[in-house]
Amino acid sequence: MRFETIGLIGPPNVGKSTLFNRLTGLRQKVSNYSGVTVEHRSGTLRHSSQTVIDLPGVWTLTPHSDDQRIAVAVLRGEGAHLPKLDAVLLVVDGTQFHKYSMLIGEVLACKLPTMLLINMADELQQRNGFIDPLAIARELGTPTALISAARGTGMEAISNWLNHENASSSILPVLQKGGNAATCAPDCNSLTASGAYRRPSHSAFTRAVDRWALHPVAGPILCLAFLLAAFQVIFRLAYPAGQWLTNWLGIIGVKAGEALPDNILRAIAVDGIWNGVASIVGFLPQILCLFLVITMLEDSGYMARAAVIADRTMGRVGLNGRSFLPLLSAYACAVPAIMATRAIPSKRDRLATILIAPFMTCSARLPVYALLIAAFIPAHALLGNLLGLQAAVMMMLYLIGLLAALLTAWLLRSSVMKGQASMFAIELPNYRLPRLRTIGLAIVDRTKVFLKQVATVILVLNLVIWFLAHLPLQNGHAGDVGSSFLARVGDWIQPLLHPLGLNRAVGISLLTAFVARESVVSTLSTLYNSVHPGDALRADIGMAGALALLVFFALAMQCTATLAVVRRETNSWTWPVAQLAYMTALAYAGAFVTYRLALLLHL
Amino acid sequence: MHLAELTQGQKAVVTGVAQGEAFCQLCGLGVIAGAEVEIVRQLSRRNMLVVRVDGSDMAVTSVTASTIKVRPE
Repeated sequence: MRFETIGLIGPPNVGKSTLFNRLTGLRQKVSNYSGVTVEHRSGTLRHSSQTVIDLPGVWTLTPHSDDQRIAVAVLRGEGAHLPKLDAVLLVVDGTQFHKYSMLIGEVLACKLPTMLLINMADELQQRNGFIDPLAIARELGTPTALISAARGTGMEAISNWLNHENASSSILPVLQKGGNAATCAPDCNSLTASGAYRRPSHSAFTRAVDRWALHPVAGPILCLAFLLAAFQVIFRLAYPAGQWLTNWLGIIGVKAGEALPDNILRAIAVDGIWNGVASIVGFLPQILCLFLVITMLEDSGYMARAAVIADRTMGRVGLNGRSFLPLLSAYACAVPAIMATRAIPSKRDRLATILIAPFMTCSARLPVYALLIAAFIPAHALLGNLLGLQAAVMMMLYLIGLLAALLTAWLLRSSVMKGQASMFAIELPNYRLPRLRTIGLAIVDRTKVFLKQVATVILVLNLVIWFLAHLPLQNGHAGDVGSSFLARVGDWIQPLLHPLGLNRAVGISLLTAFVARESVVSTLSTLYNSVHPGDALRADIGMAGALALLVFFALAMQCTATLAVVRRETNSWTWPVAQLAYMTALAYAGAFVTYRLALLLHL
Repeated sequence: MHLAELTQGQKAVVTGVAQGEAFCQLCGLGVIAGAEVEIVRQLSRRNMLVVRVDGSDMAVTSVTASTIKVRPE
């Protein structure tokens, strides 16, 4: 009998996912375990129908978080709707073999057919370490192989064992003689004494770099320099690429629309569906770029140092260094940022990070800022010619978002999420060159998740808003936005907007912004029937209203995609709804105060 | 004595880790009874420690480090 369902288990960061990708190619699917937000990754082995499940990383079989609980339940065969395993591949990092003796012992005690895979054999050898897999197989009584998932060595030993070919003679001599040794943890001291194990030496290069990377002064400067470089790439390359992609898809939509008969169906297909898809796909270059930067920083080992450096600053508002990366990503887009919070071990810190991430000024807010600033703020020079007034206002808006995030984090930690500072301990792995394969696979993987999970939600919501904006029908054609159901909602909320100095057109555009923030610009164009709505706005809402609108926009959570992803990641409607209410209230209050102050100052 | 009380450059052997939120993660980092530890560096006014555990490096806050009992060498 072959093993049909095979579980891949091991601690985090030992190359488990690399091995999983290596074993399955890209024939894999990602879903959630029912009832929890733990990702269920399974795939089919190359050249066979056997299923491999990539279980969440565990250090011990005493589970401490949701994903670890799932991993342990699957391994022990508990739980009715969880898959049953026929065999286990236990992956550990050969360069740190001595750390895993406890886990190895625990997994073997589960009594499933288990093969121990000692990964990173190439690095072990490079760093002058040594492991004799036969000696370990003999001691544990279970097949053991040295592999390198990144380079693809040792893969035939795995497939031989999984298919019961070759009788594993090369990996396990003991069982062939009929002896079934008792399962136990490897004893590294005796293995070392017998010469079967030699610990690799820590890289001198890493220590030399860390002297600077963790330096109290040079460290933060270096970290900021990396960040600025990453942002430059995202804003200078990825953002324009996304805009170009959206425009180009839009043109295709118009061209294709001309081929269709002019009726309501065409309007739905082109405006409702195609343009919605185009605006989602426009985010893709940014998300790709963001994951490229993140994966490179992670794979090189620098991310751990950045978390250490950020921990001090973040600690002041009760956050933890691990929240740094997701919050940083939120400057591009809150959706992948909230997906990236999965790496935060403490549930409380993770939730706090999810709740404040949408305050970070995401790239979709930029077109709106650009429109309003160009229309209202005069192009005065400040500080000589160093800084323009317009650029200063833009920076202020970024700052407002950041301050609101920090304030919210502090409020959360001193009220709902009160408690001791959560623990922080992080490994400082050896630096290494990021590997193209790892980066490529991570990007492909995340893109698939993004497109599948978010695009479906955005698409549906897009359609709903589109219908609201174009119904009731006029002579069988889609109606004008100005007389639609959405406009009626705009009329209802108009009394609310009046204290902010805003008019009905702005109100309607704020409603359409829920689908995609940048659609404010296009909605205003439609309502004012002008390509440059800024001029018309200047006559309608004045400087005070414009400033109020900017502040409102900086603080409000106007993004259905973010709401959807928060709902998915927190697995409840409570948090996204509370978050929406809180951010809207804060935005409203902020805009009101801004409007009143601006009026007082006669702006 | 606990890990946060050691001075820079001092070596010690772990005698135990307090049960709690940090326990699981620390044992994953190799901080188990018998492990050799050394303070490599103290950062941000001793709030963050870079610790060498059995030859590999990790960073830990002093609050978390105070849950690790050690015997200085």
